[in-house]
Amino acid sequence: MTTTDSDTTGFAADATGRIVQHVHWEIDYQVKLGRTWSRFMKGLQNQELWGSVCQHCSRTYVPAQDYCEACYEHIEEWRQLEPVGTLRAATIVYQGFDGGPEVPYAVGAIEVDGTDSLFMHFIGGVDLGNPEAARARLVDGLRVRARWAAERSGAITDIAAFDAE
Amino acid sequence: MKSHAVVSGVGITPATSPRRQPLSKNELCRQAVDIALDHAGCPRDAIDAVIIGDIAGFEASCVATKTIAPSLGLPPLTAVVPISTGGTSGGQLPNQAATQVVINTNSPMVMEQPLGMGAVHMGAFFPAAYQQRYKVSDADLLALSEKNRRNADHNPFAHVTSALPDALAERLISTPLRLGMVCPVSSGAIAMVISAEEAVQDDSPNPLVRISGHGSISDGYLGGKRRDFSTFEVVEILARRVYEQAGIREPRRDFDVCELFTPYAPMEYMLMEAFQLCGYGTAPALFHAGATQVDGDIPVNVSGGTQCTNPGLAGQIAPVAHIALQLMGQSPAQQVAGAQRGLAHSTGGTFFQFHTATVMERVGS
Repeated sequence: MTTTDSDTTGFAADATGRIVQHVHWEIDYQVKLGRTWSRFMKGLQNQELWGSVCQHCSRTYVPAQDYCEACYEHIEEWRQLEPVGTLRAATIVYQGFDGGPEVPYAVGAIEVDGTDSLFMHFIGGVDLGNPEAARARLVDGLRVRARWAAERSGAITDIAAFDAE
Repeated sequence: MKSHAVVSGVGITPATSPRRQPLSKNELCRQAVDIALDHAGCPRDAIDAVIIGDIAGFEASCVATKTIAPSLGLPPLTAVVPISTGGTSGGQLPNQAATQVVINTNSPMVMEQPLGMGAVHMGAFFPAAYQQRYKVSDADLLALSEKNRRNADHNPFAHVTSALPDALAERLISTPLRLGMVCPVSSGAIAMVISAEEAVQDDSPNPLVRISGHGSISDGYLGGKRRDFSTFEVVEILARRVYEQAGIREPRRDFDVCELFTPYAPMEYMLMEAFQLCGYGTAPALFHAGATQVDGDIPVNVSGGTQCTNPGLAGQIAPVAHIALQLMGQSPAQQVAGAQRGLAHSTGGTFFQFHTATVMERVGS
């Protein structure tokens, strides 16, 4: 619902005087990550970055996945990767969302060395105080390295950010 | 006997902010249907089936078709088909033989959402990469969004117009996107009457608009499944398929008018290129030369586009509705003189994984 204004009758009403009632939908549920993502997340918890490799076309994926996007074959092979790569695209966020990180922050698409997909993550190590200077740094080609979170729980945020080198 | 599908009626309600919308969702849908049926000169009992779009969980409802359908005043035993393909539901409605195969086994909730990425931030990756690859300036992006707001000034169903103050329009949201390049949340409804050409050709009150090509396509679901954010690769594949169906050989010459789904203004450049209206990296030059203005040789988003008006599902069907009305010669916005053939596009998924395209032409052209 879009408004909580009250008119003189005590009802919440919109700009046209129609009654607006508040409906609250709280969605609390569990997502089973399954075999492949569980193994990937456990790797992060141990400060290890693992990708999966298609045995049919040799494409390597981070995050790991159990099927190949290119040839649709089942993937079973794993490879540990150095958590370094090259930034391919990024955005600096000045307007976040409720429950999200404090602005400004940067997120980017990283090509981890030796992989064929892009890995989305926070980008650190760049002063975001000056938007234009930060934009000029956060471009295709910037080398980045993972910085591990001090407390890890088997989640994507076990990597705190990929910092500019 | 095989017959072409034609658009015989269109109903659009004015779009407002949700706060200024006096009607409920069901009332809005009923209003759009009433306008469309009246426009088509079509009695309710001539309707064989109703296809209703819905994005489950977008509001505090699921399968909204259950409550919308009874409110439309349909005769008993009218077939009702809900379509719920997320952000492309609206685009799928006129493409009634929905053929989308979605390979979607990954949940974005655990892999990308915890990284502070909402829809607008994901949408910002594309123009950021596009700008860098093709040396497109911030001014090129701002000018495009200003063109669309000026177009919206002439569209009585538009939500945001050039009344948007400059200071607001320039507020940085997520680089390079500024507020004026980002769509509002609008409230509104759109209904269309789709008929068999032979059933309506003798007594239609409007010029008929044939759907001569349509299709949909999906990309990998996670953002990182694409290697490159500077182009919409899958849209080029979709365009080739749909153009082959519709006999489009030279898109820029063959189309008289295009409406592309652009919740973020810079997508207009990228989609113009993916739909082969011009070469990669050349859309800004085409725009600056005036080609995409209402009196140019390839007008794009004469309605003002999604950037100015985005009533969710109705926003996705809006490109099809506006092109149909252009080809009937009845555009509520500025009319493209003599428009005979047009292209409508919609897309959904926060990383624009899903796209639909619809090619239409005026019957008898």
